[in-house]
Amino acid sequence: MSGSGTVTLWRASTAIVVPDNISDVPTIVGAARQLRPKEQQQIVANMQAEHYEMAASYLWHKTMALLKRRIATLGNEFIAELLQRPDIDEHSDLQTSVSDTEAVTLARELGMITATQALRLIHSQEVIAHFASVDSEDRMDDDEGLTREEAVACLRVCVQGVLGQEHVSVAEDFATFRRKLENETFTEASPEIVRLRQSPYFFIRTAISILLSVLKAGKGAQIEHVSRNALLIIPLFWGELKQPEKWQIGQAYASEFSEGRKDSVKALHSVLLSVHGFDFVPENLRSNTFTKVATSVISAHQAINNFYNEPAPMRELVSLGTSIPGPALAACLTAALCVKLGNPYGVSNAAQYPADQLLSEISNERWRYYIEGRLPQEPIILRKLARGGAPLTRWMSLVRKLALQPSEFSDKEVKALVTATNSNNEERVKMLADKIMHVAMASNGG
Amino acid sequence: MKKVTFRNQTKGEIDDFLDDEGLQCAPSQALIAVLVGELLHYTEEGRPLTPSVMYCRSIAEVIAPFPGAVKYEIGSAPLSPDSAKQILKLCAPLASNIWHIFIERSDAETLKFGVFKYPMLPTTAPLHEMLEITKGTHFAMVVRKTSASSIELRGAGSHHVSFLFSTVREGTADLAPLEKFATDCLSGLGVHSDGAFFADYFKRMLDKALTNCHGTILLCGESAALQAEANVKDATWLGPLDFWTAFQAYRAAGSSDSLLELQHLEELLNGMMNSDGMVAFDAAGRVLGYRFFYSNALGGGGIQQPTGGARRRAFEGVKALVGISVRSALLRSQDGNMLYAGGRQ
Repeated sequence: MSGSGTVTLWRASTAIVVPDNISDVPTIVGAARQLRPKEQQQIVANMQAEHYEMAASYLWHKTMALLKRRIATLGNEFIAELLQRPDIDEHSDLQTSVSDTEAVTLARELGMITATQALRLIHSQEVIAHFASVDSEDRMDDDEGLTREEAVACLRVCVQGVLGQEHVSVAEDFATFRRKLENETFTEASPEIVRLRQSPYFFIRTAISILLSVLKAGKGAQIEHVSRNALLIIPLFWGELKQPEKWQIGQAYASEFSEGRKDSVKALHSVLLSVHGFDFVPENLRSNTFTKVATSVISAHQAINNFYNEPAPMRELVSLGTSIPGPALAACLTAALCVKLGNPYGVSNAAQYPADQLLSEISNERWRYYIEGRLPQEPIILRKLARGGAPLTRWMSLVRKLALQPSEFSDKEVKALVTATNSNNEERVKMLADKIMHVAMASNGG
Repeated sequence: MKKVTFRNQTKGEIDDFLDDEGLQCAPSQALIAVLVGELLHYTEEGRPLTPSVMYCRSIAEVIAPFPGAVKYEIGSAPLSPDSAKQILKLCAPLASNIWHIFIERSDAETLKFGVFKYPMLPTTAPLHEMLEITKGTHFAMVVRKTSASSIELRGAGSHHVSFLFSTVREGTADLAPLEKFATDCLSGLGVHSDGAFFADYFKRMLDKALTNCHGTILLCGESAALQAEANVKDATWLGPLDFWTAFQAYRAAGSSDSLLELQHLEELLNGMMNSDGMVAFDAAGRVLGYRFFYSNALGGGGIQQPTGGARRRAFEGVKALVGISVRSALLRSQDGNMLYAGGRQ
């Protein structure tokens, strides 16, 4: 039906702000239109004084603050749907609720930055977080700090992707597509639907997130258009939707039902009836609690001092119980894997035991659900595998013990990933993870 | 001796209702007619019970869209009017605010029956409202008592009929007076993101409390003005009961503690409405007190307890205070009729 991945509904601008071969700090900083002259001077001064960590940390903070501010203009409800974070609501401050990695991933997916810029930003974030976490008790020589090359690379990508842009905003085509979904009623022959059928899975997932977020927050004519579009689009793509997205729709129904919002309940009821999808409606909203805590584990993992901060939320996640509700399963497994795989610098030792406790209760069926349904859309874990090193080695050790059968997976790339893992072929796993990650967002250039 | 009954009229209306809802079945019509009569004054061991009854072709299909719904089948019976009493005997004691009775018309001759429930949070709409989400998919209807003398039938096809067993001339229990009064009680809250949810919750909560009481008068006014009002005496003033704050806490925390806090306030309010006298609210969603008595009900001196016909006279007296010391007043009669006096005419 679709998903041939041949059509890009929106993409990030590839206009060059600063070429990759420029390493001169004043030149790069000079292109940072979003920085005030005083801020530019401070960064240049710190870089020239070889205070690389200080300069990089400040730069990173400014970049993320601006990026999150721009993402916030899309509306908290939409961000919550796209991230599948029910803990984010209209009162949430996205500066603190959304992690830096989530912000970068969102920016990439919505065409604010390219895939290459996203990759480099995440790498910069890991390096900065690592050096920011070092304290006086760590065994690190005084001259073992952030290098000039690393600092310049961070500076360049922050300027290229965010600080050097005149307007940091989503791709115009995305904004148009979203507006049409909210304000027009499509038919199967509408150009937008025809293009959606030919688009990679990510665009379908995003379209569904837009529909669900408007159903939750919209009123009047907007709900009517979105209701009709949901009744068209969701059944059209239901057969291809992965389980996490089906749970997302069911979760939205349960949430609206408990809120007593009859208009959106009627709309989603019609959708679920047409696809016989009530199996994906959770019995209660316990999953919200699990997702919220799982998110706090992931946030702790991606922030500074992660080895110190991971144990508490990981223990809390385990304390919620071993029966993880369907809608929360993906987030909980990602959280546990973050702890188990760690980062190139190690793992949080104190968080290992609770992570093991959680994973010990996961059946092979649930592992299959996660690896086939969620992992291809999960950049946090895929990135660890694609970069190789210690996290990849830990993955091999962890997943091989599960003895998963490749024949039980239907997706070709995922099947190959499982096969390579079982045969302890790290290079092949690394290559496949990288491929899956890039195929998932094939639209962005760079 | 001539006897006047409402049997033919009731059965005729039920027949039309079922036809509109897509069920042509004479035994069902007769069964529903018996249920309507039985529910009006149903008691068990002297205790009045007011269960809601769902009549449908398939309970599994009806409750499939209700997240977390649970049902227990208790028995089966022939599809006949005589089965109504047996079903109520077995199921009515089990059906409270949370549990409802279901009667499933399995085929042309058999009924299955039992009880079911679904998780009801403060913001979840009640069964008779949520039934409409299944419009057009299958036959289902709810029979419920809405006041001391009225029974309502509501169908998934959005059809709705109330039977008022009273000689009172006013119309049936229209919700417009309640909505106006509730709006007055929330008029001081200002704009808030939870405002719409609280407004829905507050109206439903009041509707439910009024349905379960024997009739009462509600006042909306400022505490100082009510305290100074010479014609309103002997009030029992409270803390106040702050539904808005409790609701916000529930929305923010979503914890069992916060939910219980809200439910405890509702229980207290129910008790107040079942006491003598009037219950007073302010404009911030708070209950100020109860056992307010209007002292000039008979046009003379003395304190009169507004019960029975006196309730209507008390309401007439309170109407004169609207715009002076009272923002608005709502009368809910024993028959289920509601009258509103206030600025929102």
